[in-house]
Amino acid sequence: MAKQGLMLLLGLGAAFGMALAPGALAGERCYHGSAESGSLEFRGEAEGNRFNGHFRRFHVQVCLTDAEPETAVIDVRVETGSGTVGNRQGDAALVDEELFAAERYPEAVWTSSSIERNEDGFIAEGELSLRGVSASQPVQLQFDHADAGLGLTGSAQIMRLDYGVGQGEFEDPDFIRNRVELSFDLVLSAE
Amino acid sequence: MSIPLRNTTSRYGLVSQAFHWLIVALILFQYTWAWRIDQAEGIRMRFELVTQHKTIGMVVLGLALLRLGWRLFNRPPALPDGMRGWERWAARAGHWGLYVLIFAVPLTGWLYSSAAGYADFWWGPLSFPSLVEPSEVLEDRLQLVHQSLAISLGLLALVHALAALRHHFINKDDVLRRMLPSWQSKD
Repeated sequence: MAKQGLMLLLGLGAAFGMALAPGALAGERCYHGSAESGSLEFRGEAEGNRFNGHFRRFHVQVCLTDAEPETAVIDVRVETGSGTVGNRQGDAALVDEELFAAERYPEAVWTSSSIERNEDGFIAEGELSLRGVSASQPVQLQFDHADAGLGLTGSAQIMRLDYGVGQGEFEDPDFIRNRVELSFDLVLSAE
Repeated sequence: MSIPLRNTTSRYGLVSQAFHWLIVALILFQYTWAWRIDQAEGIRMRFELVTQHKTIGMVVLGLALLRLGWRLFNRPPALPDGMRGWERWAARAGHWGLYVLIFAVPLTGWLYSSAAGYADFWWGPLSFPSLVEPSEVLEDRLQLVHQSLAISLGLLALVHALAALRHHFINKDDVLRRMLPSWQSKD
């Protein structure tokens, strides 16, 4: 009798715990991705010349309820020191105090707050925390449910000076354009 | 007083002279810019100077191509009769050495820029493709090669200028004058 009571208690506890755990809510499913499963690229201009770069380390989590994109909660964490523009001097400048200040701010985080359908797919409102500054940052998204997981592509236009990315000589938008175009193409795996 | 477009048997024509002095001026500009790049402190100033240096280097390469083409179809005037055998050999070797270096310096600069991952950065509307994939090892090697060839070009050009001055002031022939505009010439 005591043994049966203990089993019942354990069973209830396990069920309760599962209900609280992320990804275990009714109909909710979470997906993960990183630099191994896609790309997170940025494009800008220096003295009118276009340059391209990408991040080598980042993590993306998307949790959806009943596979509905509007229910998605997205969390993106990017290691600021992993940015590269393909040349030694540029990479050194990126992590330097005047741009990402990667030692003091090693991570940039974007978290969605709401997602709505628009003509190009979905627009996600959210907050970007970068270099110690948090501000509202919309992101354009497309979801693609595939056998391999969840396809996630999209883009954002980030005004780097809003986040203090560019001090000293990098503050002048005539040298480095203020607008940085971000794009991503990921295949996320289910948990 | 008029100067012919094509070379004659005794002097260089306007086109050859224009190529010669324009390339001289741009190469002198390039050495000045290389020195300024070395002295620059801010990354922005350095970036702008490097972009200009690279672009002018490509202009030199283009002019050198045109000049070589012009030379192939328009032979230069013969060397003075009084020159000794070794002087003739040295003059020809020096001229072709200058041609080789005028091509090699900008080409290695282009390769160096490509290896450094800066292939996309040019001044104005110019655009040139990357010749090699970015590589730090290659970048370091090509920097050394580019700088060594540029120093060699500077030294050979100095010997070339001194030889021209020797012809003018010691040999008292017209080797220097035939590369000058007609108002400087006896013709």
